Amino acid sequence: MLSCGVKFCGGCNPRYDRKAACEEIRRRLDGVLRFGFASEGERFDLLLYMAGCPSRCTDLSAYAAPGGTAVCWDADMVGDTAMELERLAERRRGEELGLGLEGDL
Amino acid sequence: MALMTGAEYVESLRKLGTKVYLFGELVENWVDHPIIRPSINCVAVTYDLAHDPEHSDLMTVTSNLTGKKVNRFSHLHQSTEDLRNKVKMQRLLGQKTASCFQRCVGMDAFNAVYSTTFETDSKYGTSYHENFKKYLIYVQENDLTVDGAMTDPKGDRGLSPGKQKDADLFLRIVEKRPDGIVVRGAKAHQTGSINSHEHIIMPTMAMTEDDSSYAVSFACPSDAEGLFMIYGRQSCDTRKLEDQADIDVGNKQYGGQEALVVFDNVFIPNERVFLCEEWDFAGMMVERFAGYHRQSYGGCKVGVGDVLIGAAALIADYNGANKASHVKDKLIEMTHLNETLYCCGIACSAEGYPTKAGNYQIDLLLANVCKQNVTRFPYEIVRLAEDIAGGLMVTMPSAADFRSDEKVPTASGLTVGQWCGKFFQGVASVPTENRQRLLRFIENICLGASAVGYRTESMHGAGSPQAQRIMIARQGNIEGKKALAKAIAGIKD
Repeated sequence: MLSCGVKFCGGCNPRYDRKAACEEIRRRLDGVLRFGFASEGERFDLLLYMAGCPSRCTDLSAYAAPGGTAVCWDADMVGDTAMELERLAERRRGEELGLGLEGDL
Repeated sequence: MALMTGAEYVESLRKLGTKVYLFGELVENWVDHPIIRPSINCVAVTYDLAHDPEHSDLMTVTSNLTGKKVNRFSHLHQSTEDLRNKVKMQRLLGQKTASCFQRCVGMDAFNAVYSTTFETDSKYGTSYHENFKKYLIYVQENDLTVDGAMTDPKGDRGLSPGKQKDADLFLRIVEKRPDGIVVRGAKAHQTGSINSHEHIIMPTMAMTEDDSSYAVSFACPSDAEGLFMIYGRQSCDTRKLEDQADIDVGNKQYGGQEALVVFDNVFIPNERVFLCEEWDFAGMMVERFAGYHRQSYGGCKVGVGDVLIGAAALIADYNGANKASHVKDKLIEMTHLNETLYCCGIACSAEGYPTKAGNYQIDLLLANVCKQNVTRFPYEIVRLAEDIAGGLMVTMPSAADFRSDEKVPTASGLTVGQWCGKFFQGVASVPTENRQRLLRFIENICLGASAVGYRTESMHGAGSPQAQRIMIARQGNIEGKKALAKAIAGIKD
């Protein structure tokens, strides 16, 4: 199963319940992705960035996620963010498969 | 040493021999004293959130001195982003505690002393900057809380330090030895001093050559020989000592604290001295510290304001008044005022610039405008909160009355508690106790123990209103503005 690191912004004044939103995204992708808190230098396939507001001010450069990043900054984005993660996961799996075939050749 | 947790911080305080007097007596176990403990819990939040994935991004940062992760409270700002993140962190902590969390003064002192010592050394060839860097690495590596202490008691405000009848009214050097200095005096209104591992002392104002012995900056442990503290009273503080103290306290878990810190001939070794009679740099240190601290209020008070606005909205729900248009409008006004303060905190940070030492300084004009607004807006926010809450906030019987099972000898035969429950309910679906708790909480911020932090500290903390007006006059460039008017009006003289 692909891994997904969760990175929260600092949460100075979040405009929605980031924790609840994150839980909902995890619930929707249960069995699709393995979630864990992202830490600097640690490698995850995908990154889920839970920003508290549209400014999305966190510097994510230290968080490696070759499969891409999905960003949520509003409670209304939970569904779209989950779908985006699913799409990124599919693409990532395809890339891995492609790499594998290339290796076989 | 790794970043401490809140629990580790509390344990670290127990190892100190800090001497605290409260109600005229030395407090043996001050860490667990019911009046003091809420303020310790408040500082502990600054440690716990550093470990919380939801907030660690704001609470921690990489040290420019060691390359290691440190608590932001011991960081030297390296960019305008750092300055903005400081304000954001302070808002967050205000939201989590509804109190003064006390650790900002140290952070503001670090940044002011770092840049001032660099420039003092450049002129005088002293080694204060190296002293300070070594000290700050010690603070960062041990994740210490440090009180940045500036305000002297000052005695007769019309007289300079050297002209006071009692020379101790401004902290000063009384002896210079080959290995250090001996200091004497006091620092007043010291926020969080008792909860700090260390103290950094700075001069209280710009000095002249005549007052050079008062131009002194240094660090010392809070339990240094000759140092003691006398705890400051707060409104309603003895409610914390009452039996089953809970609801009537308003905010049982958190609070702020201030104390008078007395230095009765305290020895400071040379390596902890950051200014010693270089009187022409006292003003720079004061101005920079005050600037950072005036920026701080654009974060911390905003966070407390967020909680108070929430409480006002909630009590309107509990009172059944939430649909009234004037209540909605008052909540909008409170939010407008609160966010204006935040705008000021963010603006003076965004316009920051590097000092000669390399750390970042806020825009002084905007920081002073920020604090000037803080001397006003929280008072209006409090007024509106009291308006929405209603008079019951100050007329409600005690929690003991609500708990009482004493029967009142009247026809109904109800107990005192039952009468209270009956007549102090609001919306029927809301338990009366919830309404009771919320009203006490609003009281706590508006005129109880937390009003020290939210009201009077907003007025006088980081300098009284007139101090900001002097700075605004100095930075406001009125002559430049006259020239603008002349140019457009076609005046050529």
